Amino acid sequence: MREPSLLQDLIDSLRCLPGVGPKSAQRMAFHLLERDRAGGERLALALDKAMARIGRCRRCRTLSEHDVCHLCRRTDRDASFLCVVENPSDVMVLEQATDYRGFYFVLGGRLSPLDGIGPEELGIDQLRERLAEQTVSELILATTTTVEGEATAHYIRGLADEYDCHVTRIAHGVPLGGELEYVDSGTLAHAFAGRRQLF
Amino acid sequence: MSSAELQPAYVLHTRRFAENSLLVELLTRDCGRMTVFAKGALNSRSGRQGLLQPFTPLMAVWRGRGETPSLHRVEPAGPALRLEYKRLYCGLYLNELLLHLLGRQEPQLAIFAHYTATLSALLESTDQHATLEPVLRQFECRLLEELGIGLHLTHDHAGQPLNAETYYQYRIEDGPCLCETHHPLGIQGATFLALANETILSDQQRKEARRLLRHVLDYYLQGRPLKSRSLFR
Repeated sequence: MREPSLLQDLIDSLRCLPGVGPKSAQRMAFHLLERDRAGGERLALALDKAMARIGRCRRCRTLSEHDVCHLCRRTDRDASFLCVVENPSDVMVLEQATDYRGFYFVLGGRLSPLDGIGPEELGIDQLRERLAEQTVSELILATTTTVEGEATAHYIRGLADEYDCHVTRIAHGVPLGGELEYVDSGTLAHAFAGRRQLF
Repeated sequence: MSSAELQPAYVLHTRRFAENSLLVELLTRDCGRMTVFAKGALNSRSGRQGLLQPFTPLMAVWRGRGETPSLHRVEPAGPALRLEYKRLYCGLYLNELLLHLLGRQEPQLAIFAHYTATLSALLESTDQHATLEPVLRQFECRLLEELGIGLHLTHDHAGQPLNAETYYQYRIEDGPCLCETHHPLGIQGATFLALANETILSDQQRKEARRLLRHVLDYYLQGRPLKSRSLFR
């Protein structure tokens, strides 16, 4: 049996990261201790602060160290658009990839009854409050294209029917540069059903 | 248990396993409910991510012994059934029910056929409760029947044929027992008979049938809640 030590503790702790097995954890620990102590200390401090101070934004539920995140505080964004996403990382990729200038709402997951995740677990009540403010004219559903993501989108659409707002769903289909031959049949069927007129 | 050749299957549920693999709960035609391991299924190049979704008819081969064999090959057996809104919730409800009530690797040929038929019925149905509920009730009755715990729908506990006008209270052990008209748990004989004959249910009968099946299913679920019910609220 291995003797418990600070080194072993560090290696075991690093394994909580995704994709990090025992070997990589060991490599990381030795790297920090032997070659980059300053980096290690910076990492420890950053982790400590982040874990203690990062919570959820009161408006959009994304990760933020402030009560209301920097995006929700912006005054130059269009409050008539609200985009619903599953995870805080989705906000980041949409911000990088699109010129969307509305606000976001982060569910923190998707409806998956078989995993015990129902509407109560997704902050649906908070979304309802947001819609009740009556400022949103278009609700954009950017949940994933899995069956659970679809169920989530349908559930929110049902909810939005109670308020006067237009609901849209992001398109799914053939990837850019993708040849039809190599696209899986489900995606192709979706792309075909969602075809649109060329102007 | 290995499947020698491609076998019809539906995904009931998937769970992420490690970085990019999935544990897939399948309902298969010949082997009943199976849990298979789909290694690397979440790799964008595997092409399996879009395929291993519920409500897509599949053909699958798995290899290996024990509780969790590996998914060796999987192909679509037809287009994915595009269930939407309440019909999608119904589909998720069916899957949750099967996961809770079916044991692993117990061949249930008839259940696979009922499941396939029920998905088609949902697809053709509208989003109205009046058309969805009878489809679900029929599936529940057939499922219980196949599991050997079917409802007594035609005769009461004393072996007398049910009277359409009379009210009964359903007891799990005994079946329908006579009770007073307007008893809070009373269910009219006509509702039992309509379920037995799979005929159209009136509004009142739909409510009674829902109450009856909920009572019986809750008993067999032993206190495990069905989360998909919360979607209908």
